[in-house]
Amino acid sequence: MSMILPVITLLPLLGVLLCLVVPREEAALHRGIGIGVTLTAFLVSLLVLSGFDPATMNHVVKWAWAPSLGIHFHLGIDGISLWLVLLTTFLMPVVLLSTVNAITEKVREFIIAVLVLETGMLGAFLALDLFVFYVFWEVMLIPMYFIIGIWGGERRLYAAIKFVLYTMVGSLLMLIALLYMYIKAHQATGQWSFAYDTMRNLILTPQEQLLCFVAFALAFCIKVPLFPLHTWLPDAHVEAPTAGSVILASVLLKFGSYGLLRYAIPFFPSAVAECAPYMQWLAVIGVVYGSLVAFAQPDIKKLIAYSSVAHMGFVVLGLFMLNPRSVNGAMYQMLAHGISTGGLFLSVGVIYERRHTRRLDEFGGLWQRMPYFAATLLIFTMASVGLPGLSGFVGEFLVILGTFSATRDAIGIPAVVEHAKLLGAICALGVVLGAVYMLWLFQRAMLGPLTNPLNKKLPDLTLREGLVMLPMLLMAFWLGIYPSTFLSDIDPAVVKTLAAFKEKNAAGPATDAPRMLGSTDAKPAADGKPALPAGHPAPTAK
Amino acid sequence: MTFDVADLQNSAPLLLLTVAGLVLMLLDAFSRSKLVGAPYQKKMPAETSEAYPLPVAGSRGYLMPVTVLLLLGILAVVAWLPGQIHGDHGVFMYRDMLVLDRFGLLVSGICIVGAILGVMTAPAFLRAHGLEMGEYYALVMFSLAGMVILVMAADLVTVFLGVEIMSLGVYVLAGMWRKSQRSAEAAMKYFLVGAFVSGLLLYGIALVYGSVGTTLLSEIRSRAPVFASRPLFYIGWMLIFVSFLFKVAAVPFHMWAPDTYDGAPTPVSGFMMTGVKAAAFAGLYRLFAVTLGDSQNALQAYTGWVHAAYGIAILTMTLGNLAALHQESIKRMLAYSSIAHAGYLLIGLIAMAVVGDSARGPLLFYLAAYTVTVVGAMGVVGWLSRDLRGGERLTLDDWAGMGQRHPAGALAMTIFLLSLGGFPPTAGFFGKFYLFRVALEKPSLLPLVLIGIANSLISVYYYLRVITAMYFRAPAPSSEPASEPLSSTALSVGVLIAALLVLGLGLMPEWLANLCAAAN
Amino acid sequence: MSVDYAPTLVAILFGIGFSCFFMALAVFLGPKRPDPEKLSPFECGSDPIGSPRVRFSVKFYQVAILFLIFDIESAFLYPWAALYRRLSCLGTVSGTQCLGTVTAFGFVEMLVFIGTLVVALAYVWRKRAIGWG
Repeated sequence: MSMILPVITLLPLLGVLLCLVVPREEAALHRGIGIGVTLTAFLVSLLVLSGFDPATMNHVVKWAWAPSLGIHFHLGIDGISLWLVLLTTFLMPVVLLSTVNAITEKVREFIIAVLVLETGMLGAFLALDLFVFYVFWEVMLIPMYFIIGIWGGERRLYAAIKFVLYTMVGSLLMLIALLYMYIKAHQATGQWSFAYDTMRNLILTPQEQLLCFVAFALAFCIKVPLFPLHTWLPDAHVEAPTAGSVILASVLLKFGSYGLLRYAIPFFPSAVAECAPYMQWLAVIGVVYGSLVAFAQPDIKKLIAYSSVAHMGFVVLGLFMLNPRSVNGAMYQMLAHGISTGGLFLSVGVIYERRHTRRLDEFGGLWQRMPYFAATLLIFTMASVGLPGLSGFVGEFLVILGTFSATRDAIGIPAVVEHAKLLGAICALGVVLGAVYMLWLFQRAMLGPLTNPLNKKLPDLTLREGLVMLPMLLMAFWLGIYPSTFLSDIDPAVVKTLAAFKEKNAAGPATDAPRMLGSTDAKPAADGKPALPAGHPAPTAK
Repeated sequence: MTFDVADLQNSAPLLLLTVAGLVLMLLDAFSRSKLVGAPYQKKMPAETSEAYPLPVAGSRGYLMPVTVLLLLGILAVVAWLPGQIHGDHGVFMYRDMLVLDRFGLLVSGICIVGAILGVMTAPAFLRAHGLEMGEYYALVMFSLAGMVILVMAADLVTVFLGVEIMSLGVYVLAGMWRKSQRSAEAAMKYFLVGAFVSGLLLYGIALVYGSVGTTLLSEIRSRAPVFASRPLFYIGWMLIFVSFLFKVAAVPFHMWAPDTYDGAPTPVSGFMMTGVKAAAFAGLYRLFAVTLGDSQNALQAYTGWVHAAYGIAILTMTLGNLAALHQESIKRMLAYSSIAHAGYLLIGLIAMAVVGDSARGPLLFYLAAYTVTVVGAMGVVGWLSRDLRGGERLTLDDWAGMGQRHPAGALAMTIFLLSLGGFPPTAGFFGKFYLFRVALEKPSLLPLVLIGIANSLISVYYYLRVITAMYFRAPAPSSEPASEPLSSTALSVGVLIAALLVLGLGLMPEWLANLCAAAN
Repeated sequence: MSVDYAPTLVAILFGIGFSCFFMALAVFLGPKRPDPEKLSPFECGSDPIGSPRVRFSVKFYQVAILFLIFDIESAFLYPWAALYRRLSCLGTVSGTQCLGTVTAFGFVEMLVFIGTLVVALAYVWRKRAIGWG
């Protein structure tokens, strides 16, 4: 049994213990521990790649946690989660390195929060048991709340609470749906289980599917964030410290789209068939709306936050077009967005550390003073815009291509492709809008005359900042130039997921009692209720 | 007259608690020094006096370790006794007045663990506020004895006896902060309501006895199908139901609770919120879920108490949480949150009647998780809010910046609050998960679960407010000196144990969940 | 069933009716001639000296309560004494003779009870609740 997955998941917690042992004054040592542990986790996570089979779960571990309730510590990794996990482990040391000057107070607490957050994120990406997923999903919430609330900007209290409450609304509904499915799975199989495979094979009635889908999708769409559930994002991004914004944009948002692809879509085919058009339209509205609103922002971070809304709209559209091309594009866009937006936030952090303002009109002409920085920002901007050869292009291209070409009903749901052409066209317009506001951002900040006297003495990137930016830049190029590194792992898993979806959809929803995929009989047992919850004898007199 | 010697063994926890209480009382009375803390001083300083003299450390410091050791011994007996129960049914004692079964033992264990943690956190608080009285320990023991009677009761008379013995001790404990007007108010309110409730309870018992002709619960259960429709029987049970709802502070019978929990000395509040509530829920379980419940007929339990409980659970959760939303005092917020949690527990009770025996595990697990969490939280409140002038600093403003001033206490409080709010990986999360899971098994309980979930969300807001104050806000500039956290090893250890239990039960819930599920 | 309680109801109604009737009678028929002398308060026939709301020393109450507690508890000895033979006998009791085995149950029970009382008395004594000083 390969121990890689539990090791990378729990390694950050080891770092937390180390931090607790080291005295609080040793800030440098704490940073060292943080960077060392996250770097180790990254290196260990690279081991996953050897002998990786993207279409199945690799390095699976399954330990009993609360077996009487069917809860197992069950982790595994396939092509869908692979690059997201690597993105996470890759970003963490980078983020910690970027905070050396930004976070100088309560360093120990900050390192601990980031490490706990890493455990939560990795656990949630790797979980194959829905209870485990839920636990890690919630574990992510509290450290992020602290990161925004302690090290954030002026309105951090408001932003932190808003972030938690928004996320909690969705996740509690998801918990209910989860429990409901758990009970229905027990009715269908006679066994208590939260296992991912059990849940994926469980077929509910159309009405149940719809309600459960709404609960799951709400949780994930708030996280994405899909228009109109995005209002927490600008607040959280603006108030969070740079490191928080980077993690939020690069990884946390991906949980929304990852959850949709991993859980919401495969679990409830009939509900997806019903809701996909609405989701597509909301995604497209998000693309246009996010772009337009981004255009009007005076605050650089807010601008990038709204650009996230637009970019994640592409992702959701790609997912709900339900064809391999578009879903591959969505997955790719998730990675690309992680790198380019992460890079943009890191860049904003660089000038924020120098000027302590994020107002766009405070800047201008910085290219003259900070050429290296300007070049970096230009690359991330172009990556975000989708310039061919940089990370953003492949994902957006695949999504639009997948949308345009999806005229054939490949998945067995006509409604999915009904407006494909129109959606694709609007989406392409979104790309143009994206180019407009991003280039506008770059032009106003970097080009033109250097008018503001406060900017006259700004130093260029330091060596450390360069070290932070370099891996991000390399990844932006790699994603743009040689996509098959990533797509060769993503594609088989996506194809398999869609095939499973199609199969489940073709099997049709349950009529009244829940059943499992593959069971021929709609009513698995003779009496129609195969397994009532255990422990039903009359209570004994006490 | 016959007497079974085996009864002595089977009721050992009860007898030992009583004897321990008497021993502690004598130890206190025969301890050498006469002046122990402020209450024994001839002239007490006026409340307005600027210079509040720090109370002298008494010679009764040894009572706390003695009490803890005694309780640990009794806990060991409680843990040993299940081995003495053979078969599924409990062992009846004292002419069927009490019953020894795993359920009763488990709830007794929960109460005792809560009391141990409470006793560990109490003395530092009591000394700092000039309340160091040996009677505290004896009264806790006697109250615990009452709780044990209540959870082991197999007869309406022993139910009444248990409620009374339990309450008498708590009445005194609530008012032991003699210098504080709010403590006096707390005790007075609690006593008056308690006396009223005793009347209701007794009246209800009398009516039930009058209609059925027996007070034995097992007899009543077997005769219930015949008598269920009679008005006298119905009214009697409703009176009993209401009196227990008073004890668990369910809305609309909660109005005494905020003032009492808020005014009583903090460790005592913790004891009332946990031990009394746990025992009262055990009483509700025995009287309603078992005696009147009928798991074969969903929502058809005799006297229709389930319908009443359904509405009361919704009211309790919702109003408790809404009232907690805007409390500025942390202690009062916890008091309202305690009301709200009674609502969640009622879901478990309803599930017992509607879903069946599989709901017992969740109900008990929730009780256990709630008990360690609240005892810990109240321990921290007593710990961090001490004011050098003898008061308590409880508002959110007072606690601003606590994360920096007192990191350990603030961290523990954070863990407890997250557990109360139901965040993984804490005991509170697993408790809620386990409870909602079983309630979802019957569609009729779905609205209850949804309202419970919505309330969890509301509660997250006010629990996070405290965490926000502790970590995100700078201490308000004020001319008044800040609170001066107590320094006491026992207190820190008690809180540490509670925090570890909260995390441990959240991370490894299996053993307790199994124990609870098997506690028939 | 409910008919069984009818006499009780009748008795209650009669009770209420009679008392109301006689009180009403006193109000309507009684002569009312108030004068200052009649309206003034008095103590055992003499004029009041000082306010009636004097605070008694709490010790009065304390002693009274302690007396009541121990008094009532010792009253419990009477029924015990009357039933002593039956409590100590495992069989039936005929006259003063026990037809079964004689046990110490009744004796031990009272010993436990008295023991508890002694503990309470010791506590009260050590806490100086009995003394006056």
